[in-house]
Amino acid sequence: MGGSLGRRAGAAALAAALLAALVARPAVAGGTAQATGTAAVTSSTWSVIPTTSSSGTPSPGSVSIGFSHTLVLTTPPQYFYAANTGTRSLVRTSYEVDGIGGALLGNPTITLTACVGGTWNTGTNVCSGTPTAIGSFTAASPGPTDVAAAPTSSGSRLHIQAAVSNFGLLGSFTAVFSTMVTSSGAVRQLSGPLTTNA
Amino acid sequence: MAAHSIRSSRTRSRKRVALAAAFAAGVLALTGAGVYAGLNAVATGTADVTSGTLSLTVTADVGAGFGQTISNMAPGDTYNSFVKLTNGANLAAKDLTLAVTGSGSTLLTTDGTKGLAVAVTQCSVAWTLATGACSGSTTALLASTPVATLSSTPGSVVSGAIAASTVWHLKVSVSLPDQSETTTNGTPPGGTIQGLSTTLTFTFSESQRTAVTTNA
Repeated sequence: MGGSLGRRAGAAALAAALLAALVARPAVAGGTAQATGTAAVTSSTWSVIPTTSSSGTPSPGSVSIGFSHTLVLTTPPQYFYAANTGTRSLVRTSYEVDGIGGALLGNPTITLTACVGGTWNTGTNVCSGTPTAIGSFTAASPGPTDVAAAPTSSGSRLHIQAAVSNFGLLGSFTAVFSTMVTSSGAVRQLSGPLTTNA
Repeated sequence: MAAHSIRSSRTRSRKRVALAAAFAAGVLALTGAGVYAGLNAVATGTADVTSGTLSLTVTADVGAGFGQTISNMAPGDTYNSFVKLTNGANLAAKDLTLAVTGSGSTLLTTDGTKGLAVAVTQCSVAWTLATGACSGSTTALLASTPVATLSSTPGSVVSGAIAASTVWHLKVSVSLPDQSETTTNGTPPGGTIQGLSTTLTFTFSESQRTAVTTNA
């Protein structure tokens, strides 16, 4: 019985509140003015993918290349590309080499050298552009190393030479090459930031 | 002879009664009309009344204004649009606000830290498009505020009274906050800000001036 009365009282209060809201509403709605505009916005992507292919869009992932040494025979320099698959221009890229090891009486070192503005002749190991050192990597120092050598424009590729040294007597390993691009932090690797007035 | 005299006398008597009744009715009618005219006395006056008009419009000031495509934004980028906002018509206003909403639901408009932010700055004269500089004096009307906030809580642009015919030269800045995000071998991290899109809608709103009571 008491609950029924309470519900009725609540319903009456709600009805009164709604009525008050409806009565007050026109005075507010009638006294405002608006002006609107729009802007379509998209954010960019920043991405570098290592690949052994010289064309096409590579799938995300690292590149693995085998190296070996038997007494006097050592794997010659190997080559891969760093492809800018993002929509943003880059000024720097980070490189990392994992998997180095497997040598007897040696400390294998992978040295990466980019051919900026050209490509490597994989037969003669000559760069048609400007050879630019990326860095040397060992099992103890795999990187990543942040350098200015980067596939700068969207869709471009940077040709990179990977040469091994300090192999010791013999051994083999598979090096895994990775690339990273960071939008900000200690060093910005993207172009810009940009301010546009339009 | 005597019978004829009696009939004649009765006829005259009836005429007299009829005349008396007609007279009485006429007196009553005249008296009643006078009273009725006295109850309808009228006094008149006039007052011309017009209602005010409240109008807010936004147009391109220098450059293309709103309606542009801002593409390929990276962290730290800022895109400035220059618009002219006018409180037109003849009614003063108050309390100008800006709400910004985005189509869809992406981090661009839902993340208060990584998502887009909007700022509004006023110049006393039209902005210089090439440099984005103001040759007059500037006033920061709305500090950089996340769209995630402005979509639910409009930001105050002008607090208080706004005179009729007020014109603002505004620089509306859309920015993507600087943030560190690393893409490894072409794979972005989870919750990436990359490759997203939205259409922002900017809504400036104002209220009519405070109602006044005039005694004149």
